[in-house]
Amino acid sequence: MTWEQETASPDRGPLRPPSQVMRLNRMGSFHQTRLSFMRILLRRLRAEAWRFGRPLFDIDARGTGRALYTATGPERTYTLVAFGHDLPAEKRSDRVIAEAWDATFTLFDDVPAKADIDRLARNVPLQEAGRITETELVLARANRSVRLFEHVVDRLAQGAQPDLQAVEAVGYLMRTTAVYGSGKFGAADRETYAHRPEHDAPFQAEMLTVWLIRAFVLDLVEHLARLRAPETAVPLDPALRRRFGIGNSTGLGMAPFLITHPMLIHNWIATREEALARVRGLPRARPAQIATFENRYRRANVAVDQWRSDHPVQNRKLAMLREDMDLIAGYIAEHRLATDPHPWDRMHRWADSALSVEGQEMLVALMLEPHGDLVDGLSVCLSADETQGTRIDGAMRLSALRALIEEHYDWTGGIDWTARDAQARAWYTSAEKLEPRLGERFEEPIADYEQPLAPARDAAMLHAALAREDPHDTVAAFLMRAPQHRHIVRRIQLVDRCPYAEIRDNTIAHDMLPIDMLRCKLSFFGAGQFDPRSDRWVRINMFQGAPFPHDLHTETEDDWIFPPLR
Amino acid sequence: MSYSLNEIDTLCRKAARGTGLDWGHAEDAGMAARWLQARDLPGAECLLTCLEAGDAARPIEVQGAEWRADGPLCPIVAGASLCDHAELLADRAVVLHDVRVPLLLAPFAAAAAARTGRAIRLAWRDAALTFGPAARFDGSRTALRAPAAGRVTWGPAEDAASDEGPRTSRAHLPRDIYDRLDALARRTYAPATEESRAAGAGAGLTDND
Repeated sequence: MTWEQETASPDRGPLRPPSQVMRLNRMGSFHQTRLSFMRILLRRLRAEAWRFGRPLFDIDARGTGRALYTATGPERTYTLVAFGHDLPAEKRSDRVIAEAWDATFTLFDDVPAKADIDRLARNVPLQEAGRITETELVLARANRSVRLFEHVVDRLAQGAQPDLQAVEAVGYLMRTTAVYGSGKFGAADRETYAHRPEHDAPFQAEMLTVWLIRAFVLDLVEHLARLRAPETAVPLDPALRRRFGIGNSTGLGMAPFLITHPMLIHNWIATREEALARVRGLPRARPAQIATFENRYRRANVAVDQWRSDHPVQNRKLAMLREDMDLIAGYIAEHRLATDPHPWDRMHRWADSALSVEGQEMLVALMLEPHGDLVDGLSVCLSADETQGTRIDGAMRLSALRALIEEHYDWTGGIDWTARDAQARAWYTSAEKLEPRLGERFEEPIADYEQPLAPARDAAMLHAALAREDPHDTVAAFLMRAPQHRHIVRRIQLVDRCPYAEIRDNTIAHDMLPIDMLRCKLSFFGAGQFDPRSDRWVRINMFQGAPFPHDLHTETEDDWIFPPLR
Repeated sequence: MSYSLNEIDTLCRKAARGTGLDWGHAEDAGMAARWLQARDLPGAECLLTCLEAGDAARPIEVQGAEWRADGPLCPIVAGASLCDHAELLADRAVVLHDVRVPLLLAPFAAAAAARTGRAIRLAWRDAALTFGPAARFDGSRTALRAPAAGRVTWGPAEDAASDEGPRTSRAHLPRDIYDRLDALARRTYAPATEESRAAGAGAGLTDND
């Protein structure tokens, strides 16, 4: 049976197969959608009428001091504990190996007592060199955007607003350089709070932390302006204030996540594809939905026009995306959405042949926008319980294992693994602050330290080894004598149950772009303005356009992520 | 010092790999240590004993229902294999001769019971553990933590445990145990060089703006 036949359902349109979706080129072209984690967060906070406070804001003219921001839901309160520091310019670095930052943060579970804050003051500014405990959910740090921070403080102090173009050119005043959760450095494991409704979707604690950091940063610049010139300082214009997101600087550290969490990645991708399939299955498009679609298209176009990057790869993609946006405008002008049967599916199929991958994925995101009632409920499918580990089915015959490889990893057979280019890279962890790195296998002494992040190669090697084995033998017996294949056997059996788990590209090829992996994960967070700085380092913007805690309750639609029309 | 279970899993996986275990068994080692620590049993310390003894390198010989090696059996390797064989073993019992820290077999027996839906019993001197659907540990903490055990039987259980015992969300490791595991884990990190710092992670010297 083909993928289409196997997965057909009367409740929705066709699901795109993993062979099409799980390609790095496409994953590296994903855009945020309604199912992005930060949008899920704000929808919940709004719907449940969370209340927000700022019980402490004790910051001096150099930006040093402490602040507390509280978020109270139906059952409990979370507190962002923020520490401001006076960072010398030469110490400012986005790298994992940095040792000091402009501001450091933790998300505290409940409201911290003085003893907690004192303990946190001794540890949080040290970040990885300190320890936090199970009352802390997240550890984070941020650095100023030197370009923009001083400009904004200076203008506000003079009683003027910052230059809009300068603001849009950068889009943030501070950028986080790490946001750690899930038990790292002593923080609470996700399992300890995953049962709470507000943590049902992935990374909600991390998203809440970043959103509160944004509130702190905007308060900070206004505060510094007032301290500098109390007579003349003004706050930011509210509309302009929203144009500041929180930047994020992401390097290689995030890339392995897409490989080391196969069940979770499968759930994210499968949920997004299910959402798309539901929309494609609709027999008609209602006028209100068409109007929403057209509105979001126009506003997305504003964002695409404003999207800046210095990176040649990104600029090629942007050039194609801009052409795609023009083509989409042409399609809209034909009014086919109002007249075609299964109009969303028709448009999707048109895009498959008419648009580049960037445009196709932009259209996927836009098609979901008018269909919150159909799609938002799928957010419950995004998480996964990974603490169980996965058991190997040792009773499986080697012939069946071989068949699984041929079904899910057939594309690895077309790669010449003896060619230098095919295995040019190796992922490893450096002893230097445990920074993940991607090195050149044949040029650096790193092969002995290679991490298991090359499933394509490992599956191909296993397939070759199985050719020499008795096909009737069992996996259990085979692994007793060939334990080096244990990791990949487990993975292959898992991928059979979770077909969207595997990237269908060679992750150690000479020309693999880690930014494709980074962008995929970041799009699920809800990031925008992807701005690669190299093939393995990307700047993004989070929550740009979003409401702040004090005005969240005024939001009527979940559309803040799209810039306003001019 | 208090650690999250995630930290324990990660530390133990790396430590196992640092002693030369393949990545698959290293993952099993991390999972096993975490499973025990979550039940307030010293999984990380037990694993350290095994790793420092180096039993994993010894091949396991299977003769009918008898599993033995030329020296103590590594419970990670033996446990993983027994769990792989869960359906194949069906209702037969296996005798393991001379297992290092048999408590480390427990997570694998639990996984095997969950896989087959049939209860499993692990027993050695003064200790008996039953798995499926919940885990029950009968025996003093001393007997459970025995560093070496002579014969261990792994077989079908008559009565399944229904009550899950106490669970904890934190692991408390003595400094010395942590340091020795960390020393093994550090073997998986490549020494830093000027070249790798410049090229490997991506953010360049002018990463600020």
